[in-house]
Amino acid sequence: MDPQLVREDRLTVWDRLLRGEEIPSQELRFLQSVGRDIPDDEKPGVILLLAAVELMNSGTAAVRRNLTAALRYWFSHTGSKTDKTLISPGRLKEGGLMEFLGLHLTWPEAARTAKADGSYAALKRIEKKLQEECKRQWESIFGNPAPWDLAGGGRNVS
Amino acid sequence: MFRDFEEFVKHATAREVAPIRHVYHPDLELMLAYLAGDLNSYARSKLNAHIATCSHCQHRWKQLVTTLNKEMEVLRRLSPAFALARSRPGRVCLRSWYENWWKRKWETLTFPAFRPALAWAGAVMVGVALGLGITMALVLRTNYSTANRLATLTREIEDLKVQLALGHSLSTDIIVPSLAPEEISQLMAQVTEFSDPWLKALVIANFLNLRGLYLTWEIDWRQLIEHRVQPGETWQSLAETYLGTATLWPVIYLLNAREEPPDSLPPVGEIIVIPARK
Repeated sequence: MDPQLVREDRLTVWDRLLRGEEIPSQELRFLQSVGRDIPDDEKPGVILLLAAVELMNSGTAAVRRNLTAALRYWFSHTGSKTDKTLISPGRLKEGGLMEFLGLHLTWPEAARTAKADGSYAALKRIEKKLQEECKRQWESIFGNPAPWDLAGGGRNVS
Repeated sequence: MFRDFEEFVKHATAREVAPIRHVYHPDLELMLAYLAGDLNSYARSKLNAHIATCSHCQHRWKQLVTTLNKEMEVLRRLSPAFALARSRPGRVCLRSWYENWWKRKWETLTFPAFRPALAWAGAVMVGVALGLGITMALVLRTNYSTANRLATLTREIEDLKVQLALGHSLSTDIIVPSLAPEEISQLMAQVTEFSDPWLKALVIANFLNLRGLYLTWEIDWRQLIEHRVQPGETWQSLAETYLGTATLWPVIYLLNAREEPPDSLPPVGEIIVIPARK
């Protein structure tokens, strides 16, 4: 399977997560089936997506809001946007990839778009939950410790 | 290898949105359907995912959105079509129709460069019309009031002529106040030369007649009434009581005064004479 096509499929799921939608687990079977065949540089994306979907499906409403805000926050710091006048504030509340990429939001701004808790403690809490889920997913799929655990002395979210 | 989870997340997200060399691209209709909100959640996210990783489609998307925004701006500037639903049942909103008609005419002017000049010309014409209207109203109002006053004066003169022709005296309201204080003093000097009240009355009547003031029609000089002055009575109150009007007070004063000035009170307890009224 073409890794780029798989990534495009993942981006479709990312877009729905950024909109705060829940994703049925069955839709992600294509990722789990690929398993060990995933290229190394694609692995973090796959694991992060699986963990985010799991949290989105199992978390409370507050967790879902905070997760949506956190994903918007992180994705807004990727890419670049040359014409920001095309984005209206109203669209950000239900925005997806196209709206958030390159916006470089602060955490309070991102939290406001998802009606989440704007304190940095909330960001740390959701980071910690996501980290735990990522670790579980990584070990479950690849059978080895998560890469940030292997760094030795590296700073983890606590 | 990642130093921490944050770096892991940064790497993952950045890698996820890295550009993809796509073979197929969505057509314009799909993009328009997206903008119209006609796509379902999955199709919308699929298109988003494609555009986010395709520089070619990002450029197309940007052009499409810019063009649509311009079109929307033009549509906003144009007047909305007349909506029957907004008017009351059975009634056509003439004002709305009229305003829209003017807006359409204005927007469809052949030479937009002339619009400011036309606006100015219209404003000047309205100003001139207003000025003319106000001036005409003032002139007509002045003419009307002048004509009214002239007509009133003419009527009064005609009445006076008739009264004089009939030998009637003029109204006492007009006559007595017209005597100046100097004239009253002069008359006083003449009257004090006589002690007989009847003679005094004759002198007063003669004095007034010489000035064209005919009091004989209202006052009977031949019948002089005697009156004892009570405290609080004035020349004016006595004139009002006996002659019917306070303005005839100089007649009583002249008949009875000796040394007192015109603003004095009649001597209390003394008997004064007052001509009877016919």
